[in-house]
Amino acid sequence: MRRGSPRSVGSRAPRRLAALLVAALAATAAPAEERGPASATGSDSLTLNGHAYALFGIDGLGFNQSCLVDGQPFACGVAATRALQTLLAAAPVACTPNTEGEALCTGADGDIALALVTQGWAVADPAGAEAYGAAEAAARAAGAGAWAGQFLAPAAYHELIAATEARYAEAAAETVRAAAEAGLVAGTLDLRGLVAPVPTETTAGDLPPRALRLAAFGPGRIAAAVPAPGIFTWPAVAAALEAERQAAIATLAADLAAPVWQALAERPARTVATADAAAFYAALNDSAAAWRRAGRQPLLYVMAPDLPAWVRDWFGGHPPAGATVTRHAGNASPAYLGTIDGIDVYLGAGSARAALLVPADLLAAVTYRRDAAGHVLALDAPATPGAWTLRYAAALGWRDDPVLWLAFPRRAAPTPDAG
Amino acid sequence: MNRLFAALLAAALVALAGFAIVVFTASGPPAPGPEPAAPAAPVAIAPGAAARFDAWAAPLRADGLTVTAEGMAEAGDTVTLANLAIAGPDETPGWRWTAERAALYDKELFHLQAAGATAFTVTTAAGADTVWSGRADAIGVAMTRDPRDALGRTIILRVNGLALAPAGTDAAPMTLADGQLRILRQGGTGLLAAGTDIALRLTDLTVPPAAGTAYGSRVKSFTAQLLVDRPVTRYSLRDAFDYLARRDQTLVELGAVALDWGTLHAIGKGAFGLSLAGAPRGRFEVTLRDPLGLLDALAAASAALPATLADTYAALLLALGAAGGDSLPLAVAVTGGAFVLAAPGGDIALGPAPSVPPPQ
Repeated sequence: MRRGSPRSVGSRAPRRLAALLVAALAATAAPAEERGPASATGSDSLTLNGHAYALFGIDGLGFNQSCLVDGQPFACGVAATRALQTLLAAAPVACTPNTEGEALCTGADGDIALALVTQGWAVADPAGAEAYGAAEAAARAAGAGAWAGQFLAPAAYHELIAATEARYAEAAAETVRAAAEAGLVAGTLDLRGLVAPVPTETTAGDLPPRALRLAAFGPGRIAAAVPAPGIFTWPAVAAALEAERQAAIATLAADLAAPVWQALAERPARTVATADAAAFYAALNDSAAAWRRAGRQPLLYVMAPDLPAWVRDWFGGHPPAGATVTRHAGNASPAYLGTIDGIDVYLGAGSARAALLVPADLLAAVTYRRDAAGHVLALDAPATPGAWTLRYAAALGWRDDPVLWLAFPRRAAPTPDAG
Repeated sequence: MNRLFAALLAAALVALAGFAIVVFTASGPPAPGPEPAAPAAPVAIAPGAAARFDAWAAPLRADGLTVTAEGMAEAGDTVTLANLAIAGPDETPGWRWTAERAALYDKELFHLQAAGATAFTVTTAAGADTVWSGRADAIGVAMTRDPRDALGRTIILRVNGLALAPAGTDAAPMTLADGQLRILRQGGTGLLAAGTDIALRLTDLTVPPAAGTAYGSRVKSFTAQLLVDRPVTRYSLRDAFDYLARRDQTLVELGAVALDWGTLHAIGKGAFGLSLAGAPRGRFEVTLRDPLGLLDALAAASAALPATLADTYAALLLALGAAGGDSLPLAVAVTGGAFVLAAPGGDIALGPAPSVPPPQ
């Protein structure tokens, strides 16, 4: 038997809105009645002459909705969509749209919506014609279509999926926030060789406020998680959502480190101009020598593996004469390129025409503020679904060493400076 | 979370608990008294139909069962029986199984084989019988004894093509394509510790539709293993209750439970028991395959959706994604008369756990 409550007006709101937009865009051109071949876009929606319509007066099963027959699930949403497609394929249809993007459509055998309800693949909308209600009662009594088993009322199904997406978004965003905060507080962000000092926390202080944007977990994710024409399964949806969640964690962790690179670029600096690979290599070793003598690890940041071009050659098997090029297997940073004469080389923080040389212990202190709720990272409710803001306050402390820019000539095909 | 989810776990756990209560029993140390003459394994059948029947029944009678039959006749190696009846101890609740036709086979693994009309009766109070009657394609009972261990015994009960319905009603029968119950009892005199290892396997069990609203009427398979820490010497429902409702409130270990019923695919293990008043309690580690598909089924079959259903979907989506694959391990406790699920967002009351009335 059918379960659930009669559908609410809002349950079809997204589809109605979409149809409304399409109808509005085409309002000047769309005739009162359209004729032609049509295609099903769902169990109760179709396209005709480029216009999208929802069938007026009925509510079809969700495309990914499953029904239950004696304990066994079957893809009744897919079956319902196929039923509509079969009705549409029989002959050209005629649709009379209303101003809400809905339409009364007739085909070879008359009212298409009525046929769907009669076949048990859609339920009557209380706002629709009485004939639809009578057809639904007959289909239910006959066990036609989905009525052969049990199913959620389409409206309840759509509401459940939307609510699940909303709840998942809240929960997943919180897990992303917590994971990022854990990395921040534990000092395990990937700082590309920079030694992360043990962070300190404060509940007060005038620390610079910062904000991060995170775009993830918007509406429609559950349907989007099924690759067309894939078969809907919850494990597949869970895997796709988990991939999005992990990507969000990685993105957020990278974004949290961004202020470090910005601050590095603004540190007091010296600049050494080099003309070629040999000069660059000599300047690199000369500049790092003092730090090495003091037992401090030098780090070289380049913007891309081919800038300067000779860096790519060095790690491609053509090191400078007398140089020792290695790669430490234990370095898990994806930005790590390798080590030349003991100087660790990473991507990032440099510029298009200069590489940045710093000691690894340059960052001396990191301070975060923990708010009244006990959070270092605070998650704002999204202003729009899927657009999250995370706020925090942090201060960075640096040693006095000036950083060193090793400049090199512009390439033949210059790359724009990275900000 | 919701009550829907409770149903799936309750189905698995309560079924197993009920199974343990109804089918198995254990007592304390074996009752003193002479053991029947210990035949070499397997049980030997003496000459003469009645003598051969008595020899076969002796071990069961020694365990407190009442075993009777009529119309005994010898036919070569076989003794045919009519109206075979095996009953538990004379107490309430009590039980009794009857078969219209049976035979003893000298040289078969299943010495006792029955087919045709059969019935199972449970007596909950004097004169209050619940009778399930029907037919079976084949019922076989095998018994072997360990000659080194007075209590050591293996009993195998196998059933094929069983159909039973409440007597006197027109209810649809419950059918079972294949079932096997194996009881391995050790007295503790050998290398093995004293105890009873009880295993049940049911294949293709159909239950009345009303009982399978969400999962359907067909239980594809159910297996369970119950580890009783003492030799089972009486097949008493009363003793079964006492065993589960221990005064020291320790739990009975349940191992390797697996249930494949509609969209409910669960494997697990745990421990279970009853309070002295019959309230269930226990803890289980359950792995559910496609728990969200199961939730779909429960939702489709639900008369009213819980307001927190979306929370449950979201929590399971998160957990399933983190776990990878299509299965999710869940911890379930039975406490305070309810099933409680340790979910990613915290403990969730799943729903009530039915009590078992103590024997009067």
